[in-house]
Amino acid sequence: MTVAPLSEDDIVLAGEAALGLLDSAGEAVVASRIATDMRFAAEVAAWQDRFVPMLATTTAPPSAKIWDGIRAQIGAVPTRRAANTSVRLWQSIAGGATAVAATLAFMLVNPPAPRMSEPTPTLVAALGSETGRAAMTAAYDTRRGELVVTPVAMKADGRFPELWVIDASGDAKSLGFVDAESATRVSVGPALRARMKSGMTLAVTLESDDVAPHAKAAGPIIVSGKIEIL
Amino acid sequence: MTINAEPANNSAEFTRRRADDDRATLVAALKKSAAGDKNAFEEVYRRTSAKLFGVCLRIFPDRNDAEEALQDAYITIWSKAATFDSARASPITWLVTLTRNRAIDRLRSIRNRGLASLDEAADVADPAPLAESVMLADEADGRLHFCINTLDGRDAECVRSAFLQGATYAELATRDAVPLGTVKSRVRRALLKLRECMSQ
Repeated sequence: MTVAPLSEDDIVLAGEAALGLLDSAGEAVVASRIATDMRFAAEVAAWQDRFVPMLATTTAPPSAKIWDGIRAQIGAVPTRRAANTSVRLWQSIAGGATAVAATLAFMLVNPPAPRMSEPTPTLVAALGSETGRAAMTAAYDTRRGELVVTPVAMKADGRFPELWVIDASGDAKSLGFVDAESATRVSVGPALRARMKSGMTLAVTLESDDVAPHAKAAGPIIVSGKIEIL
Repeated sequence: MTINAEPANNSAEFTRRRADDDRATLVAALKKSAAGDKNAFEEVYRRTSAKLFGVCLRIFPDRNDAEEALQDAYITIWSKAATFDSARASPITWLVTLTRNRAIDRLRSIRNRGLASLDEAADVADPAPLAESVMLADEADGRLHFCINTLDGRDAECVRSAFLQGATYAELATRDAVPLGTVKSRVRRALLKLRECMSQ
């Protein structure tokens, strides 16, 4: 099997991502491409490698007090991963997407704060399609049980996009309908909050009738992506 | 960490082996940090803080700002250590990229509050090395600088401003008083030329 070289457009897109030039929609597209296209992911990583020397030109020892400050603050950060073995699963699928997805979700839910104190645990997901034609981003505020999903490129074609959270065994639970044009705020009910964790999959199907939530998805999956800790 | 029992037969070989060992040690320390090992994280800090502080100083010339950015970066590194995948990225690239992204987030938020402008920041795009700093002369580093110097001056400036100051397309267009499309084609041209040059 011959592998076609990356197009110039893809090379430029990967470079723009590494330079941080993309807006949130562009970053979401890149995140989904990284998740579904290994060669594209490798190109983004290669650009990051290429640009490192622009920044890493000098070394300078910081003051000794800096480590003390860090040491004090990492004591306050819970080791969120301890009870969770699904991180590797996400990494095997989309390791490289995390930086982009995290930057994006950071902008979506958490405008840069000058100081980090006790951070609100946030989960994010970059939902992509195999064709790369549809994309959606999701950011979940674990404290409030609130999920914000933002379509980047999505066509409902007169059908109804329904959001699902799917566990490792493939069991899907509906989170209700979402808007294909603009961001939707989904309040996750107490029964489903336990599912909102790293390693679970979020997916959107196109359903033909408008009575949500369905017990089972009937329509095709248009986008999907793993939940990841920000 | 692996220990090479055989003596290195020349200095290039020795340097390469030492770099491989350093990398393996850093990867191991990052993996332990991901499991919550603070001593391993201190080892990560000890081995990388001078380099990452250099990165922060490149973005924030003021030492206090740079130190805050550095602290912020390491807290993020600690909480994200589990997402580092040594099969996909070198530890240094991962650390520098993460530090750069956090620092740029800070810089953008300062700029959005109107406390600094892109124009002012442009003056520090290429600072003279600090007295206490050490120039890193690496083959790959030299290649990037050589290739950037082959670009049209304005094209190179777009790339530098984006990467070092977090400039957006809109900000670049405003600063240079040119249409958005012009800036986009400058960046496109620069990226394609850079990639070509760096693969030689």
